[in-house]
Amino acid sequence: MTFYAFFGALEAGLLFGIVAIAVYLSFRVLDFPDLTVDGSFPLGAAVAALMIVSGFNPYFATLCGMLAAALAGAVTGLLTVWLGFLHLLSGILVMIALYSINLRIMGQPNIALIGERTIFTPVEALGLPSNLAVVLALAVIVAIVAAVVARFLLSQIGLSLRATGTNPRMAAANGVNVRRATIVGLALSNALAGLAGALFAQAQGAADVAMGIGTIVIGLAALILGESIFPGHRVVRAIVAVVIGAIVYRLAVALALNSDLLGLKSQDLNLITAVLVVVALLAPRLKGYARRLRPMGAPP
Amino acid sequence: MGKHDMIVFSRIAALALTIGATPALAQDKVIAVATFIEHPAVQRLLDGLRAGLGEAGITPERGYRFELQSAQGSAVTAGQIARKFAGDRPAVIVTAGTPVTQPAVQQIKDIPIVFSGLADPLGAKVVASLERPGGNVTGTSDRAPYKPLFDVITEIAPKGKRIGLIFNAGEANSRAQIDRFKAEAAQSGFSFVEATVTKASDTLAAAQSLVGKADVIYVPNDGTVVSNFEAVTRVSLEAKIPVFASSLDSVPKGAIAATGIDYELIGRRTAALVVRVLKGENPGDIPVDMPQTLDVALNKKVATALGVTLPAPLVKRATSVLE
Amino acid sequence: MIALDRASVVFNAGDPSERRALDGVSLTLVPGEFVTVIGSNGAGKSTLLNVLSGDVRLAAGSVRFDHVDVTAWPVHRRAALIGRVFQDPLVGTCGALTIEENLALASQRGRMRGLALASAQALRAHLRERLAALGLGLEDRLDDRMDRLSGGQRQTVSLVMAAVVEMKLLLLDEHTAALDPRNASFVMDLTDRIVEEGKLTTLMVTHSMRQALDHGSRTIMMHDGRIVLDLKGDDRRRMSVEDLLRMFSKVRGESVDDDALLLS
Repeated sequence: MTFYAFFGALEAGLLFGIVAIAVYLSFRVLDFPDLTVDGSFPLGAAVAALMIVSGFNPYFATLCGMLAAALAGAVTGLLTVWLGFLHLLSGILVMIALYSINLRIMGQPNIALIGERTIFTPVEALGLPSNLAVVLALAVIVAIVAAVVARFLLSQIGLSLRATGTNPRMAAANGVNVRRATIVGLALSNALAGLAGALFAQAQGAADVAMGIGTIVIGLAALILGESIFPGHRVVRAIVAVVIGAIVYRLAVALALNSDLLGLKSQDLNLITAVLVVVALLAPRLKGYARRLRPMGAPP
Repeated sequence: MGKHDMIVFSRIAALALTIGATPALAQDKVIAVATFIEHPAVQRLLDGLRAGLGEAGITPERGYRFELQSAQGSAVTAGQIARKFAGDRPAVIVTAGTPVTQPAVQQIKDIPIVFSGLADPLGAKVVASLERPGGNVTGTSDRAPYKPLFDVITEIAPKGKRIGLIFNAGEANSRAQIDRFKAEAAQSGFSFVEATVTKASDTLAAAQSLVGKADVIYVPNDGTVVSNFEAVTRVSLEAKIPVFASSLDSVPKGAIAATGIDYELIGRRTAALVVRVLKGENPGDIPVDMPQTLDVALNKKVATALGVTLPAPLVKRATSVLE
Repeated sequence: MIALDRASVVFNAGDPSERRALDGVSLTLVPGEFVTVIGSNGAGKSTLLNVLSGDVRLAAGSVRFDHVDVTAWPVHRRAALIGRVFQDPLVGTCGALTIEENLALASQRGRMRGLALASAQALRAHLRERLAALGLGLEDRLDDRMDRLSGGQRQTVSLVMAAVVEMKLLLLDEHTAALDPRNASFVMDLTDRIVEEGKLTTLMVTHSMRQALDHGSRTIMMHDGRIVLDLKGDDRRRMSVEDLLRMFSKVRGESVDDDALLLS
């Protein structure tokens, strides 16, 4: 792997680190398996891209992308708490609807952002090579997002959200409006997915109607990978863990892309990635096993 | 974060960086190819590319290596492939599919990029103009003019002036195709009737609605309608309305004629551009290669069933005729 | 003052299994009153408690707290007025959160939750004090997850959580039933202490006639969704468990076969 490929993995890992935080908020904190992100990720991209090509300030456009995605999350929440739909179903329904809605927003399957002024333009203007500039900007953004989310979860409102996900009956008995907490939590989670989508489109050069497919899978892989490498329930640790999980996952993909040197073909990419992730998950266990095999009394 | 965590973290970082230190292999000049999805059209494109390059002497014996990466339908992997290519410093990058072309063009300014079979290079903003793309990018497109199809329609049904259009209005691609179709037909004296569907099962009703209102029917490259093409064929045979298509595969399914892209030919034309770039030409100065000819496929069996005679000159120049 | 006025609760209305869990019950609690509630299974004791907390809707009647009609108030809104300890220590606390986080959550009950840190220094010190007063060493385990504690310890913390904020009514739902005798006794002593210190209006549902008579100032007995016995003052002081049993059968018109009531 070259440094370019390494930084490419960092770039993808940081972007999907934001998605991983979003998935952590819904799946872990709220205990709400939310599939909306497959639709809210491209929604954020669609809104931001449309606004950018229409001449709006890219920061404002990205913010609007987040707000649109937050709205989608709120709808999923409303379907569940007010209409009583199963949470999985609510997420799927909104995700499906968003496919058509995103197409309508964009007016075409692809909006190109090449040559447009994006959030990354000022950083690139500093004279750094583009891959470094984007990673730097993303590192700052992800650090801010992680800090804000952690601080939020440690606040009184954040605690009420965590209680809602752990024990809604007890939360209600302690004055928490569980329905409102669910909607707020889902709105926040999807806002982050929308942010990731908007940033991704600007880094990639286009918002494409099919770019959301598989977002939840990447987010979950990052979540589980991160929790296996750095287990622990405390908020700050968990958030850092899932971001690292996303980076490790994309590093595994980058490694797999280089495996054609070993005679493997490009269509084996997904299989190789899966194998690499399994190895990564097993490594700490194998180390423990090796330690046990050492004869008693031998120096460690 | 405890000490144990720092150990794990530094191990991962060290592993990644060690692997990262692998030097770029050999003195080979690499032709790095990126595709977005596996698809028969892409396969034919790659076949043509390889054949064209081989015939031009771009072979392993002469020190050239062909590297293929597929993004497997994932936009983020497409981005990582672009970053990887930027680091590998190939002699030229070839892309197939807008989702892999855009990140490559966005991120790489100092390695020649040749896209192949892109439907709308201008709309995708990968070129400044079709005549002079500018920068380090050029390539081939699969967007053919509709004139050859209009010629075929006029030759087979000289009195057919009303064209019925069946498509899924919700698919942006189909809408775009139909709009271009109607725009290009403007001078030819055709008039149009639209019959839209939202799902495959609507196709029969849509086709039936055109009976009496259209002399011929046209089906664009629309996944929804094409998946239920039999419904259109049924109405075609019952009401004796000839059906034309832009996909050569529709002819065995019952279209009387179709004009379509030969993706292998596009692959070869892409190879020609790659050769020029490898010889030192600036890609930005090479105009985007648009398809000039289209394959024509005819279905004689359907023609007989509809009581239509296929004109001899058309049959002669056709690429394939189904008996 | 807590007033229940002709409250009725019907489960499975319209079904063949329709059941009147509460049948036109009226009950008034004056401030500071500690009422114990007994009755056999299905008598309506838990329903009575759930009507007060808001977990169960009334089919008829009303609930008033200091003349404010709270009948339509959902659980989380009524929580501002109520402290509750559940029978199951797992239900009343969040196992995955720490002791401090559980207490911090409880201390915001009835208040507007904002973006301020949930565990501020001042609150932490205050909570540590309260836990130290229990003498269980829990004040040093503030950062331990709740699910590391035993049932008895969890129930103790539940009690502290219920009492950490001012309330108009403390609801105890057979809160020692799941504990072993030693822990049960500890928790009951703590309950008495907390109720007395805070002069809390309290309603305790219990399975044990002994417990019902030994604690509080008033005892009501329920049967078939109605209050069949209401003892306070001297009448209550003179009552023994055996007497209570005899009164129970007299009122019900049948002999009592319920072992749980006999043996407690």
